[in-house]
Amino acid sequence: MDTQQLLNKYLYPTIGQNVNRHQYPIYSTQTMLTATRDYFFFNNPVAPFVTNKQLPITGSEIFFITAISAYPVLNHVTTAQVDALNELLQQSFLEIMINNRLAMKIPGLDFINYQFADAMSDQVVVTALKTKIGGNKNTDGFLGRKIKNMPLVMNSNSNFQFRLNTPGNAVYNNVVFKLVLHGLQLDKLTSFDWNEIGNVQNQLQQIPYTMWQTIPIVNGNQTQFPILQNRATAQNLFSGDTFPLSDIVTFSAQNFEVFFNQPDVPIDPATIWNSRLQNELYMQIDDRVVYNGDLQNSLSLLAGFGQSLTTTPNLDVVNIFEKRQSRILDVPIDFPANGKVLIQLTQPGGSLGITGEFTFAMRGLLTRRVA
Amino acid sequence: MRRPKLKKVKFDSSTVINVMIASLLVQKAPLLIDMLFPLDPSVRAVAGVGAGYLVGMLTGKSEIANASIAIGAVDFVAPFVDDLLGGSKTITQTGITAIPGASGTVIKAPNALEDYLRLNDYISQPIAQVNETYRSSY
Repeated sequence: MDTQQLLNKYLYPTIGQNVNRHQYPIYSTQTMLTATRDYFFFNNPVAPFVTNKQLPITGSEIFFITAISAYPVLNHVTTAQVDALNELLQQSFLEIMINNRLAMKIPGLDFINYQFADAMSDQVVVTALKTKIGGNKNTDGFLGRKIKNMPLVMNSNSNFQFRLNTPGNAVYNNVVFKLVLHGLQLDKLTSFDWNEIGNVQNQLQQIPYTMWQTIPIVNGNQTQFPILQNRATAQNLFSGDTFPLSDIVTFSAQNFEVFFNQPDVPIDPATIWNSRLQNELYMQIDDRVVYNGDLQNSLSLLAGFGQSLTTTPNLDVVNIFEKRQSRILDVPIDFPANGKVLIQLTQPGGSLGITGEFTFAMRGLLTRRVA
Repeated sequence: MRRPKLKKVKFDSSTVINVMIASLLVQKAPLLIDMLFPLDPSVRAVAGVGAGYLVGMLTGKSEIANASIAIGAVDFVAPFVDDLLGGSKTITQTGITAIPGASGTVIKAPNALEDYLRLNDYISQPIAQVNETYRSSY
């Protein structure tokens, strides 16, 4: 039985069950400050508009997390703000620790939603905005990271930590950041402690997981970028995993996304898009090719570009191109323990959008031996 | 009016035994037959009478056969008598389907070591998920 089946078991009332259900999400807010990198959520006492849950949850509650989303309250209208947003998506992560064991470490682009606007300003600096909301868009329109196939269980009295690590960009000084956990809370009318370790045979744990890495694009020459190969990488630039996996871990990839950001010197995003579509993604496991194709259906881009029109009324225009898509694999790609794995992205010579960073994120199920 | 004289009734053990046999056959034979050929509840009484009559024929004892018919008839008539008397109706066993018990997913106070080993957040049997299972998560 997995956590989804466990959740389904208690979803609907039946005769004899003494459990209540609450279906509202729990949220926690923090105010971001320049150069502050780490933020911890669900530590504050419950207060309206600040948070509706303080951890740990009581001995009579269990919360199944089925989705995670977040939102910084800021409208991104300039290319500098889009640059900071890209940092938030590609160089930040949310780390979820349950009883001092890592349960999930997801990059910002998995779960952070954002507001952005195309802007037109005239000489009198009156600005007209065309505002949109973006994020990791799922097939049902939900913005955020869904983990319905393997919900995380917040046990009663378990030790939890939700840590957001960001670069601390000044654009987000005094910006309120709200983290939301979607799911189902069960109130047990009879107090019941769960034994997390389980019986001796329960030695395997499956968790929803994202393997990701953010890699700088140095120039426009033909380049092969090795992905998840080098352990000597900053903690906010990769998920902490490199291949080969250890002998007690396997990973089943179900979905992946390749996200490109705005170059250091912004250019028309249309040319970036057409150029990046040609990039080739190659995956090889134990000398067998498992993926070899371009970035159709898996290319994402968030880039702004400002132009000053030279005809009266001499408008300053900023257009922000945002496209999010990820490829759901029809058959999962299984990475075995100790398997010889090669993942690389190749860009052809003369690539446009030659600087900046790209993030490769592979989402799926991690199985590991515990206890 | 003359008081009726109570006549001495002779105890006839063979009649008693024959009626006992007939009664047992009418009541228990359907259960035996049900084990071999599933019987519809509505025909159970008839099967019992039939079994008693058959045994009477085979053993040559007409008392068993006749008693079986009488006992079967009582089963049939009894509800109508109840109606006349205005007494509580006895629900016959024919045509009742059992109400299924409540689902076993009850959360209760732990009173055994096993209770502490359930509902843990570790998966006991890791599964390989297929697209139909995980597509709703992306």
